[in-house]
Amino acid sequence: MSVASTWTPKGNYRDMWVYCEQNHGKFVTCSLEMLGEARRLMDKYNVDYKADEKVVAVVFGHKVDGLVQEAFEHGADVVYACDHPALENFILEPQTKLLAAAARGKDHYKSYDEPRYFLFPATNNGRDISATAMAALESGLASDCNVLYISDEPIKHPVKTRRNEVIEEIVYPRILHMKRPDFSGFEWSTILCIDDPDKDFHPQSCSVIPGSFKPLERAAGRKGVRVNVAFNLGEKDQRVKIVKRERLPIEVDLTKREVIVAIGRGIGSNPTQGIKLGVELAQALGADVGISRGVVTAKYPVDASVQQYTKEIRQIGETGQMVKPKVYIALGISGAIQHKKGMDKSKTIITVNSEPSAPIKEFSDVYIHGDLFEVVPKLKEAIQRALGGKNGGKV
Amino acid sequence: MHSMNTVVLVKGVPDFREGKVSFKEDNTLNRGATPTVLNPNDRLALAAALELKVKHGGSVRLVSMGPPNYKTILREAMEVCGDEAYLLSDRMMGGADTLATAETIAAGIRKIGLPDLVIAGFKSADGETGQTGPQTAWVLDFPIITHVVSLEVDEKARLVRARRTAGDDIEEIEAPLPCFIVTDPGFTAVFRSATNRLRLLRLGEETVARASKIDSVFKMWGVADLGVDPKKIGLKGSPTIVNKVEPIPVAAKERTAQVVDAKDAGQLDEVARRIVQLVRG
Amino acid sequence: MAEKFEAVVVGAGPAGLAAAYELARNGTQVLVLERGKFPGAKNVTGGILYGQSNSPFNLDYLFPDFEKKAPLERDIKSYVMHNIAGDKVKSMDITRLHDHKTSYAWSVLRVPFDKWFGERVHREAEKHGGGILTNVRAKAPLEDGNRIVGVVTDELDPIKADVVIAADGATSDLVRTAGLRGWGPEEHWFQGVKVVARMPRTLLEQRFNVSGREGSGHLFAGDLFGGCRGGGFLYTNKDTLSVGTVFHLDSITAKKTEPHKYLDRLIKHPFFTNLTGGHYDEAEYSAKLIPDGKKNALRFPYRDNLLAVGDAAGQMKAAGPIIKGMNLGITAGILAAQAFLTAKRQRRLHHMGPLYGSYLANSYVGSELFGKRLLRWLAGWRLPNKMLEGFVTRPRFIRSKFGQKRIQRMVSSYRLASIAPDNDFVYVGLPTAVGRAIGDRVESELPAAKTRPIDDRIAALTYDTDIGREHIVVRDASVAASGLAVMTCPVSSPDSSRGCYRLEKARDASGRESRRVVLDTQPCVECGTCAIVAATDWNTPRGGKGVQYQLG
Repeated sequence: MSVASTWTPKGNYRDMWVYCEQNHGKFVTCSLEMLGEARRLMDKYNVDYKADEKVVAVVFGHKVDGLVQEAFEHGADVVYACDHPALENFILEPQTKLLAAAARGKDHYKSYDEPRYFLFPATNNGRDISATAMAALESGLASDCNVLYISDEPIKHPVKTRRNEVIEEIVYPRILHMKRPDFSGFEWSTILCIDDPDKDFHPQSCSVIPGSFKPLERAAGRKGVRVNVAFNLGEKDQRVKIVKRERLPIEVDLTKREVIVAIGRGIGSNPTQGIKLGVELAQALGADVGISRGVVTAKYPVDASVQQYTKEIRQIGETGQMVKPKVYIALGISGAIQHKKGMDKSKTIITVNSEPSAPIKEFSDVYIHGDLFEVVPKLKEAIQRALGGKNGGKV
Repeated sequence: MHSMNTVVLVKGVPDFREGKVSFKEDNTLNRGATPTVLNPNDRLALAAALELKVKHGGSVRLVSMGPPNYKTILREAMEVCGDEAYLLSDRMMGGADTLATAETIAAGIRKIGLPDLVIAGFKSADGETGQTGPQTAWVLDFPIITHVVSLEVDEKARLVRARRTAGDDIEEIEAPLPCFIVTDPGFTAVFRSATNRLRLLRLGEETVARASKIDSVFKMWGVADLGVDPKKIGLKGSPTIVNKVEPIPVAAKERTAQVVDAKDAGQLDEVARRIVQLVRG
Repeated sequence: MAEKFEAVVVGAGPAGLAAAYELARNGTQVLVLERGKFPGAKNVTGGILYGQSNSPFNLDYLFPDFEKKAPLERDIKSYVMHNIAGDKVKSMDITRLHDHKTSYAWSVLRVPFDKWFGERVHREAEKHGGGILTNVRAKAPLEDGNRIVGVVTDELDPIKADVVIAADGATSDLVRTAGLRGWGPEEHWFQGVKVVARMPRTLLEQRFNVSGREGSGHLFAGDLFGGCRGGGFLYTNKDTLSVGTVFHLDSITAKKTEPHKYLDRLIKHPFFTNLTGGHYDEAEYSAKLIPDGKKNALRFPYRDNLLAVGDAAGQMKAAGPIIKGMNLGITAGILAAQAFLTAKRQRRLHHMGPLYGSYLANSYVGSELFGKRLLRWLAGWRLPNKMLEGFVTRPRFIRSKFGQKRIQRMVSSYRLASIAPDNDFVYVGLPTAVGRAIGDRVESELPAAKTRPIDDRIAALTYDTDIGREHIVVRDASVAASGLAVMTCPVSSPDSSRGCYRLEKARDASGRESRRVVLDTQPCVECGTCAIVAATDWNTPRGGKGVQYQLG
């Protein structure tokens, strides 16, 4: 048994960079989540390796001063900012070129070759720029990760650790382990980006599934180093043009909600009041409101104030939205098969129904037997108590 | 007049419906043990190519990388649309991650001759990375439009006009030919003319017939044919490795409802606490 | 600029396809627009495709080889009427009536049949730059000034044409939007509901005593339909049975009944159980409106360059229990095509409508639909009917040899069937009286068939729901205006929560409780019933959307 040797990269790499995507002058939520995780990872890293490496945010856009400060306050030590009208809307090619130039260049902050790690949001734009940026920097990335940690890792690999036709075990230090649910959720894969004997592959990078990590509490007034990236692109770097950009009609997307209160035909005897109760319960929990097909087709005559909650765009079921929240609270829904297909992947299903023979009971975790008009106000109060204080409660 | 040349990138993916995927010693996917089918999202890329062929004529060439039996994938793709099929296949290409794949495919496209358009589908069903398309475009130095939901070509002005989704927005994009298009899962071909619909039917039948005799329009190229730098492809050209694969435990979900009487305030409080815990957790 | 085709045919059913084929094989560039995903997707039939011996313009005129090539079921050679009174049944052979001017009588299932027909038409039309486009709903004529010059669709840019043939069925959008006909009163329609039930071929041939390509037809009338004017039918297919009921729509609404319940009653009757050996395996439920040609057929089924054929023009003939529709449609389709071809040859395109009208009038279609008006009128007189009823339904008369011979003659006479009035006596009184007087008591040791509840029937159908778009809108949700739909819609039931129509109790803003009619269009089979019995804005769904039959 030979003792495994330790790999030393040829280049000089430092820091964890985070591409902070913004849209209409606001960070997408994942940007702040990544900054939080980068902060946690690098704080531990600096302790483990007795180092002093930074969290570096990349902020491209137009009029980004506010965003730069926000990045500092959410954990960035350094911000690479490029402020230019042409960056107002995301276009892949110029953003990639600016990003690659910043990652490779030297400036008043940066004297190392390239970033050690790079995180991107696994949003449409984030995934795209993670791919093109790594093509430009000739390094590798894992996509759609939701668990990250840094440690030394012994590797045996037919190419990367082959020395004189022998596959050795070599310890790679400070490796970012990037875990992703793979193959349509069949497998967990851990992806590593590993240098080759002939060529370093840095930065080690990945895209991060939104919602995987928690942002830091905002530290107002926290300061950092700002590096301005020059917008020095020409026509040939901006071949793709946005002619028009417009809002899609507002859609209700329940598929990504973690808590849903769904309302069914149990409200029939007083629809306006029934919907109001459901909406109030949802507000107490920070949840959104869904409805059964029955409510859609019943076309209840309801007050204008709650009319928006009777529209088909909120329908849950086989012919509506397929949801899988952490908590699904069904009020007065009998549980027809078509409704079940749209919600039985929910983690916990809690139902309120006055009819003990309702099919929904069969796929509930908690079945509250009672008239929703009586139960829901009580349940809402109980939830507010559990949240801590009648009015102080917030999720 | 110049007629449109289009290349569509297609990929085989394990058919997850049958059996379980297996992996080799180095943790790359053991494709031999799993039946392979055309990546479902690639059908949209093919639909986009077919739409352009109906409206502008020209030729559509299919390119894939994989083992020799991927000919069946190209055939499956050709049943949707395709005049010729190219399979980039070589032991040395095996185990490639997205960057090495992009280098290989770009080399294949260059050997065919640079087209007016390259079209790829969004994300493959197995890797689910969504990286190969943009990286191939980068290697080719083509302008790229991703998440395309509809597409038009202005042959005279040599322009692509596309609509793409961008978060909650929809963008109208213009880019010069040649250009690289990645179709969104929401892509729809739009035919408002009866003549084009009839043409679509006819071309559809023709391509199915062609697919059944794919040999006459099929080429397989290895590393030597492509003249690609061996260091940039296969395992050697791949920065990333799959270090560990663990199954995700899927608990069979059998629910048995805990029955709560709404009149019992204590029980209701307990449910409320449970809800709050779940929401916060 | 609108595209131009020489001819546009709307609807890929037998009438439209016959027109398109006749046009295409004479060199016309013809585009067929079908709103279903494939020809036949929206189509159902009571059962029999007749060949008319007094006309050359049958299916064999287009396809001399159709009996070899088309997916036909069985050539119905024997026809029996079963008169039912309670558990007593008297069967009478009415093959003579069925054979009247009949050269063939094939039972068909419309999905395979229309698909085959469509394929043949598409191949022929392709040769001349045309073809069939599916998933396209033509919703109205394209008008230039006041003239029809083409069609407007949901899916395509407007299309111009020298001739537009409206073959879009009983619920025709075109005929209505062109102003040729409204929905009309309930009296103008029959409503049919049907199931196709699987039966192993050997068992079927043994039970129904048929073999080879031959089959048999069975009709059921009497007192098991709650007095509704109409009856039941059963046709043997290759390895399925088509079983259904057809009633005058006004009698369904008058009795406030659920049509599918009567169908179930027929299927559960011990006589039916014995007939089928207790074997019942339901495959598909369907429903359609059938225009009553006597009242609904268009005298002038054309306007400008728009010619209406088949159900769209109300071309349906009910000669007593014999229902002929598909053959009339095919003949009308061929004649419409020939009218266009002639007008084009004569360079008098504006003449094609009257030409089509005269072709129709000179064919059996015209005489079947519009002939014998005086006799019919006379036969409808109330007093003679009452007298006849009083005489004929006397048990002594029925039991007598003479009486039985008379009745047998009466029900076998095509001439009589053609003029018979639509009254209770003909549909209910006589068969019940016959069954009661001379029927054999029927018992079955076998358990009655398990019919499907309406929810299961809906669940077994295939739909492509147009989510977010409802093709039917209830204009007036009051029970008075639209309440009938809950009962008469073939995919609704007061016991069902999955059907189209239901009553919903609700309190309005002022706290007043009321019952309203609400509609879920998802389970709709697009029959058109609610357009007539309820206050709705009724449209067919967009192309490719809605119900999709697998058998028809």
